[in-house]
Amino acid sequence: MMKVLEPCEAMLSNYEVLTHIQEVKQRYRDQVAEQGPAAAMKPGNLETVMKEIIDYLSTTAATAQTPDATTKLVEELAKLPLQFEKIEVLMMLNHLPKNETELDVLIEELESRLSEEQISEVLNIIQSTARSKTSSSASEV
Amino acid sequence: MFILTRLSDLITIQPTSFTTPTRQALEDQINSRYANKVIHKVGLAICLHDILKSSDGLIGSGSGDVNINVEFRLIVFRPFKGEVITGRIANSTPNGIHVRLDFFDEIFLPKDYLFEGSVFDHNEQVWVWRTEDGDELFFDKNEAVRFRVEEEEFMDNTPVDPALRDSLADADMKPPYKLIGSCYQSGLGVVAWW
Repeated sequence: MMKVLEPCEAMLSNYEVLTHIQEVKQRYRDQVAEQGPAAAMKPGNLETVMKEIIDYLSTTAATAQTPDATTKLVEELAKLPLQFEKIEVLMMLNHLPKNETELDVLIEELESRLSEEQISEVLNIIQSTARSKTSSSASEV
Repeated sequence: MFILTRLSDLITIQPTSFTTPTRQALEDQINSRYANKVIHKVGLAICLHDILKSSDGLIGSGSGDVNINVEFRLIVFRPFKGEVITGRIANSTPNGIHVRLDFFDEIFLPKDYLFEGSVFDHNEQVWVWRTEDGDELFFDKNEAVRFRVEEEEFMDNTPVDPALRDSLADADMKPPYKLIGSCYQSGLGVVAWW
């Protein structure tokens, strides 16, 4: 009786998925604290996939991202007069390319769409927003 | 890589769960039904994202189960064609390279989708990319590798008669969802190369 109402309602970034799974884990932890372990038995298949997703995403850029940094990156990219596709922005967010070669695999026809200056501007934006986490957490210490 | 899929389903809560708050019982039921399972033509369901609507419960006659119609969204692994993903090399054969993500193993990079000049080293059981400059770059096992999704295959595995199942070779059991990827563009391949 399962019905698929909308196969793809939205796309999620790796960071959003990681955040959601960490929240689910936290909810289960709170439940254990409040009601004891028996009240918070989670399905085994859920436990497995959550662990594997966290294992995977902790090897990606998502693990160091923050809500502010990801919002800022998307906003800064939108300010440029470049017409990036949604999926291109999503991939930049997921991969945080460090150089032109890495950016080139994510952006179709990179060299004909963007000038050399624009390419370095995009890479600068990615690097500076990605770094903001490191600097802010350093200042907290 | 991940999408939100909206579904509806009839969820059954058994009397043993009546002490659990309804919302929690529903979430648990949805997760145990869908988490880590492939939905045909949709993708690999990861977990519940949120519940949008639920009907009043209807008590089934005889069992005491409560049936609730629920509309909800799942987080689903379903990369789009052309998406670039990073995984790890699981193993290599003369036919190509098997790549895995921690939560998904069915990714294959066929030999025709590797860089031009790639050859299989039978002694080392590894693919080697001989570049135009004469360098030899190795697709070593366990290396992080970036690939592009080229094709996807869904297999509707209708249940097999358990009596027959044992006689089927493993090779006949096709995975319900499989990705075919490529590595023939600069920037793809072992991450450390670039």
